[in-house]
Amino acid sequence: MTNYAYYSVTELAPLIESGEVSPVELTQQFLDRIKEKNDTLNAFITVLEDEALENAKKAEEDIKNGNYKGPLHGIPIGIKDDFETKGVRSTSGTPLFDDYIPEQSSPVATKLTEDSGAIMLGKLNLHSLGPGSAGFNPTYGHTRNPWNTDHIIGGSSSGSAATLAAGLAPLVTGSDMWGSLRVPAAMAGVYGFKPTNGLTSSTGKIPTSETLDSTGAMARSVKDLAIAFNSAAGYDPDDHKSLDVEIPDYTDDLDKGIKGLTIGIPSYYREGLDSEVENLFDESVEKLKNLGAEIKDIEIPELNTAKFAGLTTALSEAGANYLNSLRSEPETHAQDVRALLMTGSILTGTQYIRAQKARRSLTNAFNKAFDDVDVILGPTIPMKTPAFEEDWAMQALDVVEKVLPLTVPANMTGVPALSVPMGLDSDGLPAGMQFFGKHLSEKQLLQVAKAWETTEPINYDDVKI
Amino acid sequence: MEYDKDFLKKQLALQKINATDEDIAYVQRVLGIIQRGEELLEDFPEIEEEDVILAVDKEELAND
Repeated sequence: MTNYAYYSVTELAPLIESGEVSPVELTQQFLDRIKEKNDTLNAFITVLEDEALENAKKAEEDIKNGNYKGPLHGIPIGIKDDFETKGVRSTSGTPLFDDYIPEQSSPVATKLTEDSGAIMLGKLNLHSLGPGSAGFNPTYGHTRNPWNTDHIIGGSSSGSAATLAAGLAPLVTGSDMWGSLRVPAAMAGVYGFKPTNGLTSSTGKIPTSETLDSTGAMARSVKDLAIAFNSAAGYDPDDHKSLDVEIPDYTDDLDKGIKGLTIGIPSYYREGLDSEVENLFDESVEKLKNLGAEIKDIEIPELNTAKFAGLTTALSEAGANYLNSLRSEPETHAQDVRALLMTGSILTGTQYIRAQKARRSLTNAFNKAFDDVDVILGPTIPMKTPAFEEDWAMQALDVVEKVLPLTVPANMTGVPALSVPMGLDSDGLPAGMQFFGKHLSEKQLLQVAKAWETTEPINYDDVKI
Repeated sequence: MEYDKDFLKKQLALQKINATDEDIAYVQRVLGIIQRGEELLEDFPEIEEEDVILAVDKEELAND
């Protein structure tokens, strides 16, 4: 059988529809690969071998009988373990939920699997409980980077990113509170998409920070992301943040290109970059110019408030959510997460309100910037993807302090942001940059990313594992 | 100015949280990061005039 490890959904779907590829054989191939690689990577917390094969058989029969549901039918995928899944343990990467088996699946998981026919291979590892950007998990194992297993993969959607980079599935879900989809996407050399807050349901997403949490997806192909959002986006009456808006077909006009678009680069996003990241970013900007975009340097001084406002908002909300467990069983939380939650529990009401005022100010500043530019661009992470350090808990905080200021503005303002690969550094580790769009401009952001994809910024043949 | 560790321990005790010395040191560091960020608000006095909306306003997003 052909090795389909790095095939995209877009490539696999017609093969499955025509019967050339069997969903059962495809699922078995990915399960075998997971068995081979997961002990090293710690990408999956739970592998659903029997359930996946059973669902693949059903998909195969349905397709044979003429009941093809669309491009996700029969496609093996991974679901991040902070998405509740009916009858399947959903830990959110913490011993606090080690034996939590939900009675219902989150709407996003349901839409992708039950409604669209994708096959859930298992539940993906994450930085414990979510408030971390490194992918550390002392309970289920720190997730390792397939490009070089001595290096971190980023978080919190660490297992999602490692799964894609190692060819363990073509599509995964993730969530994003202060960069949790985009940071690991950058470190893994894949595409990670946090939509407009409320475009996808957060019901059944084990909460970290309700007003910042978004659900989304990662893939190795932009069209695969468009396919995923065609399925996952949409109104959920049970989610008070959910947007009741019309969902377009994100695959339509995907090849529109970026000729004539104006891309703004805030000076904030050029500060404090590692020299190699800076060089890769400058080269990428030149390539965008060659694709026909106009590049404009812009100023959004309010971005300087993002670190305070983002940390204060996230930690206050998370600290309140998990106060009872901090009191009664603090040892169930990972060392770094415990201290972050404790911090949240003693931040003052005044600080929280000031953070919300800064959030409003930043949102207004973004809206104003979008009067002059179509898209905003900046690096996703300012440093090279680091190697594991001995004191992982302190390293976790170092990583948050460096990446959060670049990623949390999208969560604070609610705008969509899509991280794309921008090549490899001198150590052979990926770097990434992110496009921000106006609220509900997902279609345009996917078009921009698709144009960028034509520059072939990454080659998975270089993955070491 | 750095947060005093004894003060932090008392603050956490008021929340009925038993923190280890290691926890306290970590919390002190996180609060330092937040404090340095908060100082930057002084460059934006207009922020104090902003409305407080405890989340991104979804109606505004939908109509944007």
